[in-house]
Amino acid sequence: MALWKTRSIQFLCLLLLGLNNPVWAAKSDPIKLPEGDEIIGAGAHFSWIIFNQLKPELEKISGRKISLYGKNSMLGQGCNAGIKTAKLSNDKRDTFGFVCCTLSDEEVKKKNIQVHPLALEPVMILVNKSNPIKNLSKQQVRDIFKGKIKNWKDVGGKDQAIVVVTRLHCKKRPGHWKRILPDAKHFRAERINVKSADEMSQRVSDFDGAIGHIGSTWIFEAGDKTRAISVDHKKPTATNLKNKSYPFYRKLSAVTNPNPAPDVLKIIREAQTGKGFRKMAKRFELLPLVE
Amino acid sequence: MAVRSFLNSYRGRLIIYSTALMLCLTGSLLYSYHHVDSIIKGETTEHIERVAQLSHKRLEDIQNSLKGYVDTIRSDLRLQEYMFVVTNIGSEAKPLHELYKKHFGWFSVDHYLFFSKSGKKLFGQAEASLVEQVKPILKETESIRYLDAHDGLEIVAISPIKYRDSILGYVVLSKHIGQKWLSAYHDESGVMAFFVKNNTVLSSCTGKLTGKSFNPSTANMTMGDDSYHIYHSNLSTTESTLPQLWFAIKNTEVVSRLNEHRRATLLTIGFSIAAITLFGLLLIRNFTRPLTQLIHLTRSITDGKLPDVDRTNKPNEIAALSNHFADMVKALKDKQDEIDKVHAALEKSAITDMLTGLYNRRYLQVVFPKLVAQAQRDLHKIAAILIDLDHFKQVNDEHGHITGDMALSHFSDELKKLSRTNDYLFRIGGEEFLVLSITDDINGIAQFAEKLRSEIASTPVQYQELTIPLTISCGISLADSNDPDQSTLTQLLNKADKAMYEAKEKGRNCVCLAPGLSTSPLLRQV
Repeated sequence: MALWKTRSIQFLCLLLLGLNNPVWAAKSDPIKLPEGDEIIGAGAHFSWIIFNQLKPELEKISGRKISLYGKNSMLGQGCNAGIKTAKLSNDKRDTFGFVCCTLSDEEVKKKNIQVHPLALEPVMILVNKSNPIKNLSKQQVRDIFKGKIKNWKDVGGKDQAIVVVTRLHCKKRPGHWKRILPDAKHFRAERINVKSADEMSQRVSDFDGAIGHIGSTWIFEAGDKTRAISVDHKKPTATNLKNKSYPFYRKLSAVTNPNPAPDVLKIIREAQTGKGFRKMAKRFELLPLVE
Repeated sequence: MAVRSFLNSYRGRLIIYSTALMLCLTGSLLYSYHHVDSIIKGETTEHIERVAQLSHKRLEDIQNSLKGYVDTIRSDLRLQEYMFVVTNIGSEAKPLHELYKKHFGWFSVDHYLFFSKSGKKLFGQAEASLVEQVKPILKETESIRYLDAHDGLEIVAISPIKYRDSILGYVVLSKHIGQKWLSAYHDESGVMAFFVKNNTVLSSCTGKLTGKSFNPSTANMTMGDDSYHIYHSNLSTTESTLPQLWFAIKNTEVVSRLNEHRRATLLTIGFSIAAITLFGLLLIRNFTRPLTQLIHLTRSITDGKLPDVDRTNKPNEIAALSNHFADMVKALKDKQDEIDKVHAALEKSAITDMLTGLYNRRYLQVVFPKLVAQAQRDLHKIAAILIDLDHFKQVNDEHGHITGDMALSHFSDELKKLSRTNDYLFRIGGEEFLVLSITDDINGIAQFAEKLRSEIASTPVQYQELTIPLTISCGISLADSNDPDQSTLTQLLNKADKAMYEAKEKGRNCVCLAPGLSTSPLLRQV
């Protein structure tokens, strides 16, 4: 009975989540966004964090209410949802999207969208806090994810099996995790592949021998047992991205239709260059792409 | 005849029915008393079987729970993933253990074990003996088994955990069935449950039997100082080498129940006989007594008596019948009184003259023999005074018959007034009257006749301002009752008639004696 109750509650939560999130619902049905003065933004979680933090300033600048969707870091609610939302903009409704991956020129052209780059975000290599390893070389990281190295003792750590945790999203887009290994098939077969950044953080916390990857914009929960390590003795910082010494990163962008509304452009511009954004970029080690 | 009469009576039938009822009840109770032994033993066996069935049901419920638990565990994606990490990547099992405790720690199980595909224990909480027993039976399919435990059995549910269609390992959940579980079976009826292995009691619900030798050959056996009625609960999934579940009830409990039942039966018999006898007597009394009273009443009525019957206020059918009977008897009595009155009136009118109220000639014929008989018994004679009203035809002719009737009434009134107690007064003709008296005193008779004549002569008839003088002529005769020739009425009247004609001839208004009779000189002068 208790089991049934637990499952029922889980199901109801998911149902409510879907009903309250138009982007999530858009996966199977056409998106029906409200029309009116409101500006709607949706897309990848990591870009959502930026817009969500800046929301009061953006609403002040545009003078319009802004609704944002992307809090839940789940596959299927990310970049694709951002692109779809951007394309829903019309005379009666202003929308924009946000993505956490680099979009290829072909995709931009094919989907007839305009990309507004926000920042480069370091992709952190996560290990469990109990792991004494503080640094790995780029090659060691790649060998571990590839499965060539399976024990931490081989990289100077404890005699402990390495548990590879991956989140291989947006497989057809360049950049992001592809800077670790260019194709999903190159990753170690015996690994945990999670569907959300939350699960990534959880799995690496649970297993002492785990290694994973996550964007620097992720806000870790209290009690999290993960830690980011240096790669080639370089920490995942904006500075190291700028001088190109940290190898793993991705590009956060906003997307609109080819002719976005002035208010939409205004808020995107503020997100790219405003004071608030600079402050955030500093906090999350983001490298702004627009001066 | 008396027996048949008794059998046909309601009292007899009531007695027979009550007796038959009493015999039937007593018979059935006695039968129960004598056969209660087998009944109680049968019930005891059934009771133990029911308890055993209940235990089977509880064990089945435990099995189903365990099966549900392992199904939940093996279908949990995160657990599968963690199991994969532990078994295929070689990570430590602690995260898997933590995950189990966090998500499934609330399951009601006594032991849990996780094994790798090769049978290596990953983690768990269980005794080493259980781990050793489980290892050989880890199979690819889900299974429920009974295993040996130190004081009973262990119900074990085993399920493989698969990830990407390959088996990673096994989850084993178990529930211990031992002393604690057995304690639920020492119920109020005294049934005890215990596990036996190698002819020794491993554990029992109360602990009293634990360690005792057990070698059952029949349904009864002795353990220690007590004998027991026992029942083997055959758990189909257990092997013969495993502890066997038995149930027992002390024979002293059975005997106690038997005696209790017998006492109850005897009490019931005694009470039933007393109750039936009492009710039978009450029935007989309440039904037959009023019926008997009615029978006596009808018999009295048949004998010509009409006794007084009291009405009753009791609200029953027999009381109603009795009241109807009382009403009927009262109506009969009223009718009888009326008939008696009419009869008396008829009788009186048959012997009495309507005008004067004196006896008539018919009664003279009736009463005269009786007077003769009485006179004979008393050794007396019968005196007769024949009286004729003088010139009465003339009164009728001159003043009418009504006046004549008044004259007759006047005379009869005077006659009644002057007559004595033992005188019989008759009107034997139109104006002829007769006085009979049993006496030997001819002087007394003559004096009475003279006094009557004198009184009549001195009191004329007063009617409607008429004064009609009236005189009488009297003839006296005497009959000797001992002489049959003289004591006939005809003789007596003939002699009196002659004496009366003599008085007529002498001028009327006088008294004459029949020939042969004489009175004192003084009277003769009068």
